[in-house]
Parts: sequence; C-alpha cells; structure tokens
Amino acid sequence: MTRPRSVLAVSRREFLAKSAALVGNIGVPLLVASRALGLNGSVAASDRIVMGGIGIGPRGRTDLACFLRNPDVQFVAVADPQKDRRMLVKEMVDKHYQNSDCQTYHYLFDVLNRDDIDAVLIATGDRWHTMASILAAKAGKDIYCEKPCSMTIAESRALADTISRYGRIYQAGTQRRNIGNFIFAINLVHSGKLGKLHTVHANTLDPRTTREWLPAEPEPPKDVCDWDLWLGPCPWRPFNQRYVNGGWRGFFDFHGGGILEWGSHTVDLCQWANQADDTAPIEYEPQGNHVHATYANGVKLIMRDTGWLGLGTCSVRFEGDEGWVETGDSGQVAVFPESLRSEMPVFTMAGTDPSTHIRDFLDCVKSRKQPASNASVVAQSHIACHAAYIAWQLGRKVRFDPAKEEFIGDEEANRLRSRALREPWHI
Amino acid sequence: MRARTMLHFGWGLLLLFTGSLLEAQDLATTRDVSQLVAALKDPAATDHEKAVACQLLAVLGGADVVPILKEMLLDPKFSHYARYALEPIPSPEVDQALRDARVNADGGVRLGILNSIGNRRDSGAISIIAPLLENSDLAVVDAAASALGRIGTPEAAEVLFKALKDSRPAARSAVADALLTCAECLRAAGQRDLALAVWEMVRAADVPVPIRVAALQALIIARGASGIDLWKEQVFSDNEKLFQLAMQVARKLPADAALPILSDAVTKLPETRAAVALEVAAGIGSKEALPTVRQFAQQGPRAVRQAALRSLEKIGDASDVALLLAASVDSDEQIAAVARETLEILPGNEVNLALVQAASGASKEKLLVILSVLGQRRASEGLKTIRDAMQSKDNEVRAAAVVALGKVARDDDVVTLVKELTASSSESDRTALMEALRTACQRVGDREKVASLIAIQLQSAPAPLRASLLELLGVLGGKTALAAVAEAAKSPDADLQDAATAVLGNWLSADVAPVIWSLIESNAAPRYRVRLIRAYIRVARQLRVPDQERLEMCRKALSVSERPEERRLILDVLRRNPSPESLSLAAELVAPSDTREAACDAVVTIAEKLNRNVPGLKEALQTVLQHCTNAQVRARAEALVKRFP
Repeated sequence: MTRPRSVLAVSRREFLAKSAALVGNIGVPLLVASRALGLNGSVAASDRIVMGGIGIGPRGRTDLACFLRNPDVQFVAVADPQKDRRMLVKEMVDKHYQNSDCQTYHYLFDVLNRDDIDAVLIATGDRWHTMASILAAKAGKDIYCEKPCSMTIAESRALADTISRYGRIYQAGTQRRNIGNFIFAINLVHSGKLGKLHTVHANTLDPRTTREWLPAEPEPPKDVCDWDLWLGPCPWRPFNQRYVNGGWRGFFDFHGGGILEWGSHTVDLCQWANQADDTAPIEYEPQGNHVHATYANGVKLIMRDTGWLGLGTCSVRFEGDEGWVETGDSGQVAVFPESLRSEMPVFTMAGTDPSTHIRDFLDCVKSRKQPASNASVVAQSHIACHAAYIAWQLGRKVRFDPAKEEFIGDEEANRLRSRALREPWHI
Repeated sequence: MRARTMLHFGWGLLLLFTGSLLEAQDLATTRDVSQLVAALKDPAATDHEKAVACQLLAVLGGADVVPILKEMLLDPKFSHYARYALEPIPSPEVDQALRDARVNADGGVRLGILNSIGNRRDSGAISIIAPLLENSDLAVVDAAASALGRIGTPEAAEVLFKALKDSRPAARSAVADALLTCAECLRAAGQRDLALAVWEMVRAADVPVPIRVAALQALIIARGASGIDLWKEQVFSDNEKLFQLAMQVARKLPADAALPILSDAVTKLPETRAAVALEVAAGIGSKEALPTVRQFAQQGPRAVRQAALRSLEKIGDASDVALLLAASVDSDEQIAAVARETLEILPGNEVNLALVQAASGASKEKLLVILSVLGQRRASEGLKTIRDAMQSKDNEVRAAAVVALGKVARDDDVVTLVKELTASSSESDRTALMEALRTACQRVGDREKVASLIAIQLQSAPAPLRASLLELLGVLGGKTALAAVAEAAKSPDADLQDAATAVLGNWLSADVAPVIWSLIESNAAPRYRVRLIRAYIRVARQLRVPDQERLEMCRKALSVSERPEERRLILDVLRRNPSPESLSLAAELVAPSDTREAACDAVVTIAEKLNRNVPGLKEALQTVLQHCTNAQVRARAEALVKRFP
C-alpha cells in the first residue's frame, strides 16, 4: 500500500543529512534518532546498531560512508570473495574509527553467523542480492540492500516472502523514495493537483544484455578472488578479470538489463505515484528500446530512455488531465501549470545521495516500522521491470496477472519468470 | 569446462550463434529448437554454445527435448545448464527425469536436482527425498528439507516433523526453516490448523532464535485477536529480539486490544523500549493515543519525550503548537530540535495560523523559531509576520525573516528582495538575500512578470550585482528571462558576457538553442565561443528536441566545432539517438584520426540499436572495419556485417 510521506519532513531531513555530512566525526548530527544518543552526544553501546557488510564495491562504499556518519552505527565486519575489496572496506572503516577492529571474511556466512551483528549492508551486484538478503533474513539480520534486488520475478517473490516470514526490516537502495523533489512530485499527483492521473513515465536505459562470454583467463588464487563464490547461484562461465572489476553489467547471467537498472528506481516511483505499490501493470508492449505498459486502473506506464527535459538521471514524469510534473536527480522540478511552483520547496539533494534513505532504515530498525523501500513494495516494482524486460526479450505484447504473478496465456513468458540456480544455492 | 576457452565457435554452428542469438532479445526471433538440440548433440560444439542452447531451451523446449537434457543431468559440468533448461518446462517427463537422476546423483549435482524438484513442487518425489533427511552430509539434508518445504503438502510436513528431532543442530535448523515455508503453503491451501500446529512445533523446537521468532510471529498473526496474550508476553520479554517482534507485529493486531497494553508498557519498560512502545502506540492508536503522547511530550524520560514529540507530527494538531514551541526552546538541544522538526511537519493551515498568533509578543528566541518554521512550511499565512520582522532592528531577526521570505515569497516580494539586494552594502546581507532570492525564483507563479522586473533592475544595477541578477533569470527561465540573458551575452562588458553565457549553458528548456546558435553564428561573444558550442550540444544531448531538429543541430554544431572534444560530444548525441541519418553523420567522422575511435563506436552502437538493415549501413560498417583498431568494436562491426549482409 502507498505509504504517506511528507515532503516537508524529507526536506528537513535532507537539510539535517547535509548538516551531518558537514559535521562529520566532530559534532553530533541532529538527524540521529536522539533516543540513541547519550547525554554527551555519544551513543550508548547498547543502543548502537552493529553492522556488517557483504560484497562492498564502489556503490557499497558510498552507502558505507553514509552509515558511518551515523553515530548509532557500529560497523564491525565485511565479507567479500575479493580480497582487494574487503581490504578497502577495512581500511575505510578502521580509518573512521581510528582502530584496526574491522574484521574481514571471505565467506558471507562468517558475517551472518555473528550474533553481535544486527544488520547488514549488501552491495554485491545484482546476481547475489536476493540470495544474500534471504540468507541474512534467515540469520535474523535486518538488511539494507543495493538495487536491483532480484534477477527474476520468482526471486522478487521469494525475497518479499522471506523478509516477511522472518520479520526483518529490509530497505532496498532505491533512495529516491526519501528524496524531496521526488516526494514533492508524488504528492502533487496524490493531492489531485494534476487532475486525474493518466500517464506515468519512467526513465530507463537500453534494455540490451548479451549472452556472450568473455575470453577465459587463468583463475586467480581463491584468497585473492574466489570465482566460484563470486558467481554464486549464476551459471558457471570461465573467469575474466573484467567481470570482477565491475564489468559484469550487460551480461545476461549477471545483470537484469537497462529497464531494471534504472527502473528499479523510476518504475518504483511510478508505482508509488499510481498508488500501485501492491500491484504491477497488466499489459506490456515493447516499442523499440521502450516498453509501454498499462495498469488495471487504465494508467499508462511509459519506460523510455529518451525525450526527457534534462532534469538529471533517473527522471520521472507524471501526467494528469490538468497538469504534469517532471523531475530528476538534479533536484530540479518542472511543473505545469506553473502556479504549482509556488508550493514547491527548494531541493538541493542529489537523487543519488542515500543519506536520508539510510537514516530511514536505521530508524526503522529501532522502531520496527516498515521503511520506504521495504521488500513488499520493492518486489512489486521489480516484478514490473522484469515483466517489461520479458516483453522486450520476446519482442511482443504480453498480458500479466499481478495477483497470480503469471503471464496470461503465454507459456514462454511464464518460463522467463525464474532461472534455475546453480548448486548448492537455493532460496 | 573450465579449462577451455569459450569464445570459439564451431563453424558448423556459426550461423546459429552469431549475431542476434547472443543477445537476450534472441527470443524474439529464435524458433528452431532443432538447431538448439543439435548444438547439445554436436561433439564439436563449445561449452558456450551448449550453455546458450540450454538457456534458450528453457523457454522454447518441450517434452521432446527432455531425453537429451536428461543425459546431461548427471554430468557435473553441464548438470546446472540441463536443469536451467528443464526446470521451467511444464511436462511430467521433466519430473520423472529429475527423480531418476536424483537416485543416481551425488555431490553438488544431487543438491541441484533436489533444488529443481523443490521448485517444481513435485509431490511425487517426497518418498525419494525423505531418506536424505538422515544423510550424513548436512548440505544434502539442507537441500532435501528445503525441497520438501516448498512442496508444502501435509505429507511433506509429516516427513519434516520427524526430522525436527535430529540430533544435529544444523539439520534441525534446516528442517525448521523448511517447515516455516511448508506451513505457509499449507495455510494457503486452506489447512490452517495444520499450519498452526507446524508453527507451534517450530516455536518450541531447539532451533536458532530467528527461526523461533518467525514461527512466533506467524502464530500471533494467524491467531488474530486470540493471539493478544501471546503477543503481550513478547512486549514484556527480556529478549530484545522478542520485543522487536512484538513491536513489529503490533501494527498487524486489532488496535483496541493492543493499545492499552502498549500504554501500560510505556510506563513500565526501560526508557529506550518505552520510547519505541510509545511510537508504536501512536502509530496504531492514532487519536486514542493522544493523551499519553501529550503527557510524555511535556515531561518524561528524554528518549520517551523525544518519541512523544516526534509522534505529534502524525497525530497532533494546532492545539499542540504552544506545547511544541515551548519545547523548541528547551535547554536540552535534542528535545528542542525534535520539537522544531515536528512544528515544521505538523499538517494543517490551522497550525500556520496558530504560529502567527504565537508570534505576537513572543520572546526573541521563540520568534526566531516561528520565522524559521513559517518559512519551512511555506506558510503564506505568515507573510505579514515575516514582512514585519524584515523591519526589525535586531539583525538576527531580520536575517531570519529574509530566509523565511525567500521560502514564502509571492511574486511582489521578489522585487522587494531584489531592491534590498541592490541597495545592500553588506556582503553577508547580500549572500543571505541571494540565497533567499534563488529559493523564491524557483517558486514564483508568474515568472514572465518577475523576469521583466528583474530585467529592468539589471539595466541599472551596479556591475558586481549583474551576474547575480543573471543567475536569478536563469533560475526563473521563460521567454523574458531568456531574451534578457541573450542581450547580456552580446554586451561589450566581458564580465557580463561571462555570466550570461554561463547561464545559457545551464538553461533548462530547449528554446535556448536558437538563441545560442545566433550568438555562435554572429560571433557575438568570441571569448566564450567554445562554451556556447558546448551549450548548444548540451541542448541536443539532454533536452527534449524533435529527432529531426536534433540531427540538424548536430550538423550545425559540427560545422562550427574546430576541436575534437566537441566533435566527440556530438558523436555521443548521435550514439544516444539512433537513426539512419545519425548513422551516416557518425560515419563521416570515422576517417579523421582524432574522432576515429569514438566515431567507430558510435556507428556500431547505432547499428546495434537500429537492429535492422538501413540505407548506408553496409558502407558505414565497411568504413569502420577499414579504420577501426579497437578489437572489440571491430568484432561487433563484423557481427553486424554478417547479420545484415
């Protein structure tokens, strides 16, 4: 269901997040849930959220930096099958705490089996996100996981079901749900100021992926890079350094394609705008690199990579019969009628900044409320992206039953809802 | 498999595995299953060819492909690929193949087969999986239990029940986890009592806390109102995980039953937990929780008081303004900060009116809070209060009023602020005024009117302030602002040219393109020519322009771009907007050495995106193959030549 959010609340938190970033380690960011703070501004050990990391690369380190700025977080360990990455994280964490306490592990189970760890940050790359999240949930950990969160419709469902079953707090790294300009745009829709909503537009990327394999190279020693573990549940293929250096995107086995890459943010926002967080479109039709979808309430969802106003990456546009709004990662907002500008706060936070989203997660870990990008919401928006990608792969229109999570009368499409996992992994 | 280099294709299968079959959209065109089966049978086929064939058979294969895939199931090298193809095929032959293979399989292959049987929910396999729950290999027990959990029938539950007594902790964990899944299947199938029995058993089992917590959660929710007593036990439990569970589940229980227990908990639990309980009570109890929330918002342990103040943002109203204002100047800065934040968020115009009323006669400390909050709330009801404060003799109050006015300003206030800006002699005042104006200009209702008023000021403003006014025109946008900035770009004053061309470079609408082109053509700002060319390309690259117009802009930009840097930017525009015309234009830049690599990549990318034969394609690709030195781009070009001969 749609989660009401206040643009003023988020504006305020954006401001506070920036203050926190400026203050760094010296002062006490006001943003921190103050119940976690001791009288002198320090956080009582018993009130800290003890965290570990799983598979932390460049984006994960951006998240990690934000986590570390919250004094009620104590980051203690990282697991990664790539030695250079886990050592980089250790260096970063140890430098922050000015000690050498951050433990490094090869296997994620070594983090998950630690009883002192309350929550984990997962940023492994798409292929591992669901598996690692499910294992973490079963180990009783709360989870902040980068997007995209699943490789298939089946994984999306398994993820949401497991998080619910184990009663965990899960926040996907779709931070735009906690960034003011996007919330402002959503609120314009929900308040009826654009009239009756008829079309939502999501900025996506080229859907293309390849089944090619890069040329085989000698596998490095397991301690340097454990290729088998890096692959995890994905089909085996020969090692090539480019994959583990971040060049895995664009390969079908590892990456959900350009619709999911940005759609996990922008389709997600469109779902929210259409108050469709508990469902997905019922029809998908590829048009070149774009996919046009339709919800049961008649609202159109256009996933496209061109024709935007230039308001930044991951733009969205919502159109009603009395007006429209478009916004993107720059924080700038274009609206019609222009009189709606007078209701607009000023947004300065980049759409890529996860600070407020991470704070939302930490607060929810304590209050046990569902965060903005919880597993249930994220499963539906990912299912919408997967369904669109399936239509694009098949090159034809498909119809979808969101309640059953099945394509209607289309066996080929249905077979693309899941992929067999490589042994020994199962979800 | 691992020792072989995979990117070699056997000539016999070359046609099958070049071009479109290596892209995920291959499914749109592939229909010949016999070619895929041939790849699996051909001893000369590479591992990669077999892998791709399996991935396509997963979508396209029928019962007739099961025998060849079954042969691969026990081969450790190809077992997973065989399962990849078999698992989604809706044919009983697949179930039989997996069952048969399970009997003979061992090691990792067996784990994979068990997983596939579980995913297919093959209840006919229960009897052959059950014995594996006693296997000495815990990985086998885990896979077998998980498969049974997903099969999720009463028979599967019975088998798992027995295994829950296993002496090995890891085996018990795996079985209990599987029982949780199984119970959900049973409940979905209408077997509620059996599901409840499963959860009861898991809750009492000797298994890790997270699994017991999960069972407990399921039990409380499934029982509904009759689960309240069980839930209450967890509210007051010493175990943190159980307390967390209670708080999470509270939102799924009947509010009238949960609220009194939570209110009681606020007074009895330790401070940190009491604070959480209070927030949960406010969340589920809404107005019924208000008396408790208001009580603790005024007085109580710090964490609980903060929770109460925070909760008021959701359930409070205008009558809480006085309480919140008092707290907003509390000597405890953390209490004050939460109160201020709540004042900013508390919904309703009545709150704005209450703030205005409170401003009259307020202490300076409270007045500063009120001004800040009115601004943050964009409260037009507060305009008079803010304007009055602008006249204050107290610098701090005046500064707060300027900031607030920027956020609340109406169109006329922008002019007032601009006049203040031009008249101000203090650097810090000007900085504050500019910040307020930037904010205000983003929100004005009639931007043409405001732009014309600022344009008038621009003519008479002192030189140092003109750049600021141009920046504001850029924030405003619109026709009037654009005309004024364009005029400034032609000015003989170099500083004004600098500021104006910079503003044009960040313009947010495509109507800036002809203005920039006119400046380039007339060479009106020679010092900033490159900047203008890049600004022009930016419009083509980022803003909404019809395709033909964008192409024409690229041609024009090319005609004036003397440096390779700009020509490469144009190539990027072409690459992002594929068409036969953009292909031809990109091909023209293949020959010059300074744009060669970017042009080759652009040509190949455009051709890939078009994914059809178009006039000039062959020639463009031949040009690439003639000049390109990048092996990967050449390989892509060669694949395209083969696909579109």
